[in-house]
Amino acid sequence: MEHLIECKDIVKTYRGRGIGGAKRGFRAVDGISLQIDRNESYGLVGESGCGKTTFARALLYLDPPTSGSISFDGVRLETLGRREFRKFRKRIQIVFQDPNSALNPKMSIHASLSEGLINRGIGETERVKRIKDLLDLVGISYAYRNRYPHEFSGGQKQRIVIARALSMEPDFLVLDEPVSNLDVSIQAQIINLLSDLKKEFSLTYLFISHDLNLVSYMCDTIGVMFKGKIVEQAASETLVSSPSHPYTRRLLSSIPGGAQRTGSLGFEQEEETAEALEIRARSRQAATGCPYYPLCPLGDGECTSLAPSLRDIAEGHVVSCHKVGPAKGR
Amino acid sequence: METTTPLLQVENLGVCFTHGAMEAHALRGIDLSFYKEEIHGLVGESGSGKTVTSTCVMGLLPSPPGKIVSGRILFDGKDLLALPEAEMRKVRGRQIAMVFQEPSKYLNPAFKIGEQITEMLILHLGMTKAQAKERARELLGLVGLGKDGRVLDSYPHELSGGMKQRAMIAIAISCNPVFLIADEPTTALDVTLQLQILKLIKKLRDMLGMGILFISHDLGVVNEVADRVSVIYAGRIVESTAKSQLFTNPLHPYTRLLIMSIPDARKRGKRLAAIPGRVPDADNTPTGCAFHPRCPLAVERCKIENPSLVEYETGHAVACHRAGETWNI
Amino acid sequence: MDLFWFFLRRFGRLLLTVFIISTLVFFVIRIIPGDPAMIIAGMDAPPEDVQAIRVKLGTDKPLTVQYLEWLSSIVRLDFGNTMISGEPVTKLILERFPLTLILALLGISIGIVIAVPLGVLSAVKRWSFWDYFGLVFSQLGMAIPSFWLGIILLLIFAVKFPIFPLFGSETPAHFVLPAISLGFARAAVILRLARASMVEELSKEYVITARAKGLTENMVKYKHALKNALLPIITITGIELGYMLGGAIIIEQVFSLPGLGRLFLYGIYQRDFPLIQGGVVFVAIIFSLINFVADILYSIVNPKIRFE
Repeated sequence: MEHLIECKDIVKTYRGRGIGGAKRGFRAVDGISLQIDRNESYGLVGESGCGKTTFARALLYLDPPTSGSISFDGVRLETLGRREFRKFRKRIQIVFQDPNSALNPKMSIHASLSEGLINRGIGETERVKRIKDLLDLVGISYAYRNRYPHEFSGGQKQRIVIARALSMEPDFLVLDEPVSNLDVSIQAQIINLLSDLKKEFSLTYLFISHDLNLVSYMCDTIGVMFKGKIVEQAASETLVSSPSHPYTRRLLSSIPGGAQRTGSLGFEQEEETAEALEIRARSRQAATGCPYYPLCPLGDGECTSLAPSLRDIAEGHVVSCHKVGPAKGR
Repeated sequence: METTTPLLQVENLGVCFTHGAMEAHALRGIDLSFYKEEIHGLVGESGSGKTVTSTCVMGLLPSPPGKIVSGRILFDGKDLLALPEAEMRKVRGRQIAMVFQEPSKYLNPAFKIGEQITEMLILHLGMTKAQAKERARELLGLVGLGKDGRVLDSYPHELSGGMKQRAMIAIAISCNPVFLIADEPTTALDVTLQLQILKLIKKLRDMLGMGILFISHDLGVVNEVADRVSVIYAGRIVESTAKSQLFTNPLHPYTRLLIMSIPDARKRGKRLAAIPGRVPDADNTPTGCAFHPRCPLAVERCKIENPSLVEYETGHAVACHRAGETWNI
Repeated sequence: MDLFWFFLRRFGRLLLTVFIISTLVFFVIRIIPGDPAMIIAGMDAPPEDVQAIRVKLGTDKPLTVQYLEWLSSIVRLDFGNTMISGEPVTKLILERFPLTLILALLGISIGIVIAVPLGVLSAVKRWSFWDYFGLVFSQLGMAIPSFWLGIILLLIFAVKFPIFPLFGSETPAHFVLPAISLGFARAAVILRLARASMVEELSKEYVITARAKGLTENMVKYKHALKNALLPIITITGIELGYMLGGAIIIEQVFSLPGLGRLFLYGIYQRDFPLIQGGVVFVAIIFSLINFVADILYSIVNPKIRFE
């Protein structure tokens, strides 16, 4: 079966500073390849600056990739003409972290929701019906349709943003930290809503977050990003129970109060003090080789000269590291 | 870890904000006790009143529109709320210090880190410039910012997020305060940095014996760092106990629901127990128990009578008429 | 170290600005319809005279040559000789520039001395007497033209009550009224900026930290907030000083001060092209220099800028 989304070697470079880009350009996304199947929920996890949002924006062509190809439903997006591209684009929607900037404060939510429907050429009576259905779906009373964004709470605004994304009847929804700005009790509501919607509309999700707990709950597959590259990818149960890449292990062991911190790891990575890490990082400025080397407790000579690439270490489990793998054990 | 007399005690603290005709009761009778060498986590969502509480302890409540309507804050034999400003200023920074959430906003961009530390040492402890500089260097080493003095001469924007937060901590502990308030100090940081800061705070508790009020909305963080935990909802404390007790035997339905609503790998495939509705606004708090509209255990009594915070078991206080009861999910 | 590179970059920018202005001046003069030589000589002048003038001006040579000669003269700060007296333009400018500069500096000093403390005070004690006073002051300052103020001041303080001299530039007393007239208008602008800047800084989070450190209110306001609030004020001051140089032209007329302004005005009446050209470029250079200095000052006070 064909993947719904297939990305090959996506690179996004930002021009360097200096006249004519004299300083080296910065690769925010450094060669990402991933596939997402229909109805799958893929979680992209990483800390700030790893490039996950840049990747999401590149995927949606909001900030097109510098190189690499994106295939949607078997069709390579770069080959499409403008009109064709727009048709495909409508099938992908995005929900961002901050509902305040996503909603036009000068438009009532009814107007915001109508926009997409008008664009699709849907007549007025049908629109009214659809908006009512959408608001019902996300749990906002239709009576509030003429209110403005500032009259709603954060959680409600996020629901409206989701409703708006759904008004386009997408196949694929990119969610970039959709609940990070919300209170804990509201987060659960929105997460449940997203799970329900996914089932009801057979949606496919790309879920981007720094919160491994959330991603391991929501997603079938998890990809861990570090400095623009995916360093490990596996089914979420596998990733959480047998993390392989040193960075993944560090992430898991950093979850505060997390069960992951007790005992399941092969080496006591969490005991490293901040100073030790910093000293190691400073003494190891490698321009070539593995980007994680400066922080890695396992790194050695091989890691400075050759950058690792993703290899299979088990069924559906890939890692980009010289030091781990089926041959070497953990 | 506890000594019998609390280091700082908040008694029945009530705060009201007036905006025109509207009155918002941000705090409706807060009772909290803090002890030496103990990290006390205060957990609550936005609008629960946790930051207002810390503001009152520091004596920094903006006086219009805020007003203390009841209560006392006992510290060092005095009621902080009754202290004249000149006296309170001597307490701030010297005996009670504070660390804030976003170091890039809370550090003055125009001064070097070293100077932001030494000015306190000179003011509160009467050190000379040279002495203060030496001490600042030691403090930076203590929080893991190196002993080579680089950070001393750096401006805040030259440091990374984690380093800035450590710098803020160094500033806060510079005069050896006995009580430290940390208001969501790790919320703006990445998860790997977060753990480092939490460890640092624990280390400082051990080394300096401070009592620490650690405010957070994140139960995981609180689980990691706190010794005791109090849960605040709509301006009142609804549960307060030792950390382990809170997570193994939560008695208040709000606490239970909060814990159940946090996603993690083990809950995969199951619906999260979400709390319906949302946190009430301070100007429109429900009658009786503020949680009743959202509570699966609510009965008539809950709508009329506001439950007091009582000791249910030793060291475990709850404010609920039906504390400890369970329900079908 | 970053300060050095910043300095270098800004200096490069300065040179670029002067270069562009010079080129612009060159082309603008030549785009103006009409042959400058004919305009100078007059409509009825015989062709030989016109040609003679052309040679003198150098407009008989091909354009590119003229341009290169122009650039090289700029570098040497030689703007040729005036048509009127044959004296070197540069000499004339440099003779009169100090006076204008002093006037402008005095003007801006008065402006700052009045406006900054008043503005800061307005912000610190919002809605108090001082705030309203400042508001009225700034409204007046923006409404009253400087020359009108100059004339009124002359009427009152030089004619009715002969405290200050009426014209001339011999003693320091001659500069008091002109400086006040000049400074008053700009003080209004600076005051509003100072107030707004201070209000903004006082609402920032690091002020809360400062209070939480137990610092006195004065330290919080006048050490922590003020340092940040001064930043935009410094930038504005640089720009204002540039305007002062321009405004000085009018004031010089009112008070009969022999400064740069009167020189250029005269040059314009006489259509003295070398003088006008030289004047424009000169003022451009000064303006750029002032902004350059302001930038450097700013970067000293606000270290973040050094990395741009």
